[in-house]
Amino acid sequence: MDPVLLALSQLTQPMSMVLLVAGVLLGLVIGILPGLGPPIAITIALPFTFYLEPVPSLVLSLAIYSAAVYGGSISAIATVQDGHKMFKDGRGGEALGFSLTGSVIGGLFSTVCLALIAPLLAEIAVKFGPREFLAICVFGLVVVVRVAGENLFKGLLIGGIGIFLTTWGLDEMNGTERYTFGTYHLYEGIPFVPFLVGVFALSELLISAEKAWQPVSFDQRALAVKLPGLRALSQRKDLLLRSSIIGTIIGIIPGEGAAIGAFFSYAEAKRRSPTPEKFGTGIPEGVVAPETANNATVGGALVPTLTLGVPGSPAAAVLLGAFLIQGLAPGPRLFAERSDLTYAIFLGLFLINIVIIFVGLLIIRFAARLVVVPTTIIVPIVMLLCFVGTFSVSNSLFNVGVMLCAGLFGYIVRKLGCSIAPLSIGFVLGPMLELSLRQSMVISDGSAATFFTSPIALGVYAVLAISIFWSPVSSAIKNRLEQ
Amino acid sequence: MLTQRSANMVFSILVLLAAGFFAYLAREFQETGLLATSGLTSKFFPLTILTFIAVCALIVFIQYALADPARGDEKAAHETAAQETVFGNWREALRGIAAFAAAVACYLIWIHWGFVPMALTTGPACAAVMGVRSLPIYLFLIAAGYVIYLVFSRLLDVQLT
Repeated sequence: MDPVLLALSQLTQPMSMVLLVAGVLLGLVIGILPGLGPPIAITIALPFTFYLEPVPSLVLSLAIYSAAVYGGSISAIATVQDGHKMFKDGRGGEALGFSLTGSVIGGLFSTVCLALIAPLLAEIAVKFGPREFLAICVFGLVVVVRVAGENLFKGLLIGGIGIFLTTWGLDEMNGTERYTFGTYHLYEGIPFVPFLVGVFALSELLISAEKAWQPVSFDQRALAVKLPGLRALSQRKDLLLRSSIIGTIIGIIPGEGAAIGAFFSYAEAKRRSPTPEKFGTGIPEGVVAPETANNATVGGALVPTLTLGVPGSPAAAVLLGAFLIQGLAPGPRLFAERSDLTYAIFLGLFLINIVIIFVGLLIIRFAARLVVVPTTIIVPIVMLLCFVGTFSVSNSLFNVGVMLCAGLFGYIVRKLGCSIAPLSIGFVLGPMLELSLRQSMVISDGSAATFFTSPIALGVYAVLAISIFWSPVSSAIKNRLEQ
Repeated sequence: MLTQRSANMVFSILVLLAAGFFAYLAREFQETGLLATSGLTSKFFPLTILTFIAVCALIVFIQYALADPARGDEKAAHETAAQETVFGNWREALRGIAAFAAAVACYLIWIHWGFVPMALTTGPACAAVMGVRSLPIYLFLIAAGYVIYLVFSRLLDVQLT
């Protein structure tokens, strides 16, 4: 059967459709709840995907991911900058309308980009060997570190720890025991899902537990979504297009994902506006730019995730867990071997964005009230869900112990002023990094020169070097010229 | 309160010690299997990463050691946020640490007395360390714990022992 038709038939199964809607609802709710975000939303649902077939499982994860990014914008526009000003002026419905429209347009745009770019990139990537994958892993990790934090060495340190933790367990190439400490639980290494649940969810819960509850106040009567008319949208078509492009590109580049995309898009919209002084005073452009870009990062982040197995954001790193639970390895071969699945992802994302419009219109009035749910209720319930979820992956209390240890480490990392993105990306990229390195050395008979004989790998290293040295070199030249 | 400078310096030292410990363990790896002679040994990658971690930890330590406003290096102090505190105040610190202690205690309850006692105590324990004084919230959390147990054990057939 044609893979597109096969994907459509799998997507239109009642179970897939129910999970799609349920995922959108769940993602929206978790996204709105204070302190929780897309990575936590997917990690909470990850254990459930264990019981599902691949397509329903991925549809659920993607629906949660997309809706959680949109849900996060509900609480943000109610409390931050232009959206907050619009709420205070009694124009909350208008702000929510622009947010919903922008999010859906951004999401659809990036889905189209994903469907166009990913197969092409996969076609190129299928020719990649260990040297190229090694270069991509190094590139991904360094870019994540640079985007995630101010201190390069702290980020590299945390990323290095993430990579090191993947060396625990039996060596895949020759079966040597490494850091198993005499327990068979560690033969397959540190379990992926409990580690991510701990790092993302538990550490965030501990941070939330620190804060005394502070009520969020906004006029709940202004929560009815008022969709903008076609005229209002056509007046902002350039802004929508630009924000969608920015979000998609930021999503493709490994890094923090939605937050960075929204920030860049807002800054760019302000820079290009003829009235930049109005930004922050409650204008629709201040809502449209970040909200369009943050949902556009979803499709963008999936480009490297699906084609190379390199996650474009922390949430995409967790999404990789959903693939691994299903026994699927994201990468160029996925497109050749399971093209039905990749089409199901493209079509599923498209459907998810359509469903978000209706869900947004129908239930946002009620769901947005969740902004005021106290953390004293959220933290205990989500903590219990983390316990049960990690246990249910393999009915193992050892998993729960790993989740607790990873949560404590994630908490320490956050308290030291570091992002946990390098830790999670390092943990995801570690096995690929080691395998590529060792395969390259086997192929080259032990010569380190092999890493620089591949034109693609050299190109990747060159781009990486430019990205690292461009800023200091250009500012040094500028200073010299000014003197 | 604990400053970022002190915390990061202590963390760097702990990482250096841990890197040394794991490097020592890596030296003892027994190479097995037929492919052991081809390419890199099993200890090469962990040792390389540990060296990388140790170098980074050392640089971070030096950065924070030098970022002392008393020495007049305001720029370094600003770049590393050295004078910022790890916790906002001691109450915050207590709540965060107590929440983790409660999670560990609940894990131990699960191991020794089973899932249901753990499910019923996790919510109230977390709420207690967060300073909740509302009886309805405690009752709600106990009920939520039982509902979660029912959903997983009856609907999803997870054997929650």
